[in-house]
Amino acid sequence: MADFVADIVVDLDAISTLAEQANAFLAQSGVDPRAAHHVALVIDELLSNVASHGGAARTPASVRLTVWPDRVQAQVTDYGAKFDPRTAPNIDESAAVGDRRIGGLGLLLTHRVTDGLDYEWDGDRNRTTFWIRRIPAG
Amino acid sequence: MELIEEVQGRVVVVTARGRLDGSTSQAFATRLETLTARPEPRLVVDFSGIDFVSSAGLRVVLSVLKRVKAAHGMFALCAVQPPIREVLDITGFAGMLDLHPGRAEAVAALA
Repeated sequence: MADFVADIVVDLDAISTLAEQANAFLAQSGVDPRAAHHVALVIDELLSNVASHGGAARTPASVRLTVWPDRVQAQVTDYGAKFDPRTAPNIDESAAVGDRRIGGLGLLLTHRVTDGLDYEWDGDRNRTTFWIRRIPAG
Repeated sequence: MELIEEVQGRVVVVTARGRLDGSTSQAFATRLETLTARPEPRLVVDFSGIDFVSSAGLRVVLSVLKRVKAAHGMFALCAVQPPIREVLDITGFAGMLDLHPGRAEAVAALA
């Protein structure tokens, strides 16, 4: 079991750097590229949502990753507006190019790549926990 | 993100390296908008060096695709890494995009 802990001030550059560091940590921990990418992806989507919709750009957020033999677990805490990411995404992924709406992709990806997604509002912060299964090495 | 352009006949090939996310997507969009600001553009983006794509990156890809279609052009991606290919599948983008395993196949398809 290995841990990664990071605190950031939410803006797009900081989110990008954090997601890259998380991905690198997971790769170094022996996590398969799919799980490593998707964990970093969900972290990016959750924090980008705070930056653009959460009414709390440039506020603190923290991420904690735990690598288990069968999965990676992540906890993302932010001080943005109250938002439960378990909310169903409002998007039609089968729509043709001209009809595609630009929003909703992040939530759709968050739902589809995670194997578990949990959320709680803790007084003044969102706390989202998710996990993604690892592909066993070899 | 690093973008390198190369012209092969009527096709412009852009080799992209790095991450396509909220931090880099605007620069990617600006560069590709310039390359597609012509009648019937034919554009291949080589994704072999792209190791991360978020929804912000997908929005730019969709914007380029719409722009190329409006100009009666052609747009393809090649050499997409497996985790990113899964992202394209989940979001339905794989069905909208012209995807090729390698650069040669993509250029041949658009030539």
